Amino acid sequence: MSVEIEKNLKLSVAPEMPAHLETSTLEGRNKILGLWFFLGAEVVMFACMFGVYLALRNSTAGGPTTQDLYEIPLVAIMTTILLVSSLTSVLGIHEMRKGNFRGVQLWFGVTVLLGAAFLSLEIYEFFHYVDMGHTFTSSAFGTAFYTLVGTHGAHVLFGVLWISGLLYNTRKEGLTDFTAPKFYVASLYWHFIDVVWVFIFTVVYLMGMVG
Amino acid sequence: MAQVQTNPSTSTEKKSKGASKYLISFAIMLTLTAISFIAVGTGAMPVGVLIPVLLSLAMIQVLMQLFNFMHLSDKGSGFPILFIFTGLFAGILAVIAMLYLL
Repeated sequence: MSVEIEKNLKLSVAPEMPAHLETSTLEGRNKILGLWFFLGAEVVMFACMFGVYLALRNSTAGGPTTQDLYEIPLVAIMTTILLVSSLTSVLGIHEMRKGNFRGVQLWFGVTVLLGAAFLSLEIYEFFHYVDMGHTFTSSAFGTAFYTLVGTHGAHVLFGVLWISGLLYNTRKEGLTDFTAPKFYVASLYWHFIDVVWVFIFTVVYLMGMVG
Repeated sequence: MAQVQTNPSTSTEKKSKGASKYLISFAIMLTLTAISFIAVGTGAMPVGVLIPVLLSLAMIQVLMQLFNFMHLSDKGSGFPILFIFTGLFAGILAVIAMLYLL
């Protein structure tokens, strides 16, 4: 390690971070800290949407209720897809720490495909609900539901585009101390999408089915 | 920007150990999810018990995501832990407040 890098790392606010490729530069460390700061803010945003949803979920204005709408099989499939994609992105990071760029490309590629599969199921689900008379403007419950689940879906879409772009941009450069933090923060973001979904399938779907 | 050099002997050693750690976490999370869905699907529990059980299972799964998959158990994760749990604290307060107010 050059003297300059060592000096930079001493400036880091997190000097104890383990010496992986993604934490080998000050820039990489700060990117990771910055993404965690962003995730802390995202938690508050999603929590507010959960609060609104919980407060308004019975205000159906005569439209379909949570028990009319939600069905276990579709939600179970979507949950499994997202949980597997969380595993594949951590396997991508595992390959990255071994320096195997082909493995990174493979696992992040699978993550993107699973994310796209999740999105198609969610679009199907929303169309199905609209056919049943449950729309964004049909009731306070509808607005709260589509705001919460739709914002999560938008995060999945953004993650799919982000990781696809990252795979495209790094296809020639491979793994360096510049590209590794990019993959690492993308994987953190992707895990966070699954963290939010754990609360969505529990609070929205499962608790909605028991009333 | 130098291309990465790895030492093959140490990397294969770490590989089997590290990957199985993630696979075990994944299996536990999948089981927790399955328990939640089965508990709701069969209706075996009264609602008063079911809701706290579902929320606890979700909380355990989220902590496993954070610490195992997002590497918060690594050394030097003090600031990330501070950030995310401050967010959770403010968020949970907001949810409780809205449940009382709305």
